[in-house]
Amino acid sequence: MVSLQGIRVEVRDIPNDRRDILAIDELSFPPGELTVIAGPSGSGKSTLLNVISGITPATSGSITVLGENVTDLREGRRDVWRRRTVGMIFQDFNLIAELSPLANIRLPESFGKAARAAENAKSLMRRFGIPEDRSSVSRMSRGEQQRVAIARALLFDPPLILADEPTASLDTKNGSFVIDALIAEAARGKTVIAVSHDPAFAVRAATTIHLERGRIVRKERAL
Amino acid sequence: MNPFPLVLSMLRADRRLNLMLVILIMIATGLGVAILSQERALKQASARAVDKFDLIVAAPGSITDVTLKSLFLRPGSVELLRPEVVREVLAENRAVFAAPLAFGDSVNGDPVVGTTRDLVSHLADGRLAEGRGFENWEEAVVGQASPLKIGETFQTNHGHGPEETAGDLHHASTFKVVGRLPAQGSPWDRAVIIPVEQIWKLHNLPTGHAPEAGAVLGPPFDEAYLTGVPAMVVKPENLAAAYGLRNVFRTEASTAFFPAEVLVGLYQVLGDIRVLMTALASGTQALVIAAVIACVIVLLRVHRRRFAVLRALGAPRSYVFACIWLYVMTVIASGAIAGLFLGLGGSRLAGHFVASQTGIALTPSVGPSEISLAALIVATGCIFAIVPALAVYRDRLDQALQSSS
Repeated sequence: MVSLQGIRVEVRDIPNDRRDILAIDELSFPPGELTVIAGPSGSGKSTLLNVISGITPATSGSITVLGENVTDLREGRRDVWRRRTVGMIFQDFNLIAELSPLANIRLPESFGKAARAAENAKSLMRRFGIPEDRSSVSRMSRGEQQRVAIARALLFDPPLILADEPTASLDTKNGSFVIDALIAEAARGKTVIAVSHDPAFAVRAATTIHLERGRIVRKERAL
Repeated sequence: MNPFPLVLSMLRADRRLNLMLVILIMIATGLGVAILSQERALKQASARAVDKFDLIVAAPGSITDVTLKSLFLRPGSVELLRPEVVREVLAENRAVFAAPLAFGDSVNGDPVVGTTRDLVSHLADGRLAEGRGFENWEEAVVGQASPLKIGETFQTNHGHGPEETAGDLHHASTFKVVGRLPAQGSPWDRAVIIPVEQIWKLHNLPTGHAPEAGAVLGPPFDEAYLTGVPAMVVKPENLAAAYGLRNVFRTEASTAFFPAEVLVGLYQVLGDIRVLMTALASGTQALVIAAVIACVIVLLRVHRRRFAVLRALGAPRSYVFACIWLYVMTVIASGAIAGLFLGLGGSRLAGHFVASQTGIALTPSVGPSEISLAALIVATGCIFAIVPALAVYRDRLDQALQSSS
């Protein structure tokens, strides 16, 4: 379970002019579900993901993930927590172009140990149909690259998956593959939160939360 | 924590730029290494070249000129030591031998030196590399690098330089090569050594012996038939004799010196030049390292998002710091190590050039001072590499993730 209480993220564009880019009184994300965050550009969708992952510090409020108050963690502890708990998926994949698919998937091993990471990497490659013979991910299609990015996010089997527009740069077929993969992870009891404009995503999500100007304007549960 | 996969990816990502940075550091390091190595090789070679010449007695004047003319066989003219002083030197009983030197001729551009069998034997440590010493006026001993072969005959040219630019041929005398000196590592390796009497004869001077004595080889010389010489090489009996003879022949009519004295003076000049050149090279090295760091900082701005993603995946700041520091160090250390080899190569090339121009055999090598220089560059790089590493270390993660690069 991920729950947010009284979260405010404040910015100062000019001195003495503060404004909230995110203001959420209460919000929770249950495990085993895919939740989609929707809204126009600048509505605070990505900021919400960054706050949950501890990348952007909240000005006030608290975030609890699996019983641990993330906002109380100091930076070093937050890094460790993020590595163990959060799987991040980005719109532009953010792979290291010069490394092979396997090396990209195993990259988190460079800075953190996990049991059976090597086996997991191989197993994820098989599961997502990632070709093993490529010397570099730059030689792969965008769909294949996003599969590598998802496999990298799942290497340490994190209980929380945060995806920022994961289908935005993919065609329909590859987009569906990504949605299927995230729903499958949710079905394994994980909390999956995805920011997306993609209507196909919202249709298949358990919950869709609509943000505008940093505030929740609507929350829809699937029937 | 294992930063190497990322460091390797950074090296591969901008391989041309990285190669250029390595080359820059390699050149800067190589320059410093070449200067140090060349200076040391020059000192060693020049010291080795004069090692066999214990004491020189010459006419008053520049002892540097005498050394360059007599020991390094450079063209030029020096005042002649008056015959009466030559007589005194030859009569010295504290000398194992005293050998007059006479110049003025050449064979195919190689210098002809007139002297005695004593000096030839001394230079060869009593054992020639090939053949034997000269036993009559028409025989010659050549240096190790001379193109003349044992048994070959030749005629000398008056003056220096190659045959086509040399003066008249001394057609009157034909010499036969009978021996070859071991390597001296000095211009004497190209020298053609003939009896001093022949040089005197070819230049229409008294030959050191009475005409009725015939073609005998000195010493002893007949005091009445001695002539002036550019210099005399004296082998003193011992150290005390060496200093004693040096004092005795420091008069108004002559000067006496140890060749090492001249070298010490030259080394001081050389040292000053080295200090200047080392300062210039150090400045270049510092500028190159600063340029490399500036370049890396710009490069890291381009890759800012890559490091932010790593942080988003849970990499600690220390990991990112280590990656960048190690990457910069890999570039600098690779350049410094390559610079050691480049410097040695450059120094060897310069050594060949010096040897071809002067006959002084240089053997440049990489010693502790060159390794220390490369280590100093790496150490400086260690410190400077903190700058870009710290810049990324302190980067705000959320802002970096939003950056377009």
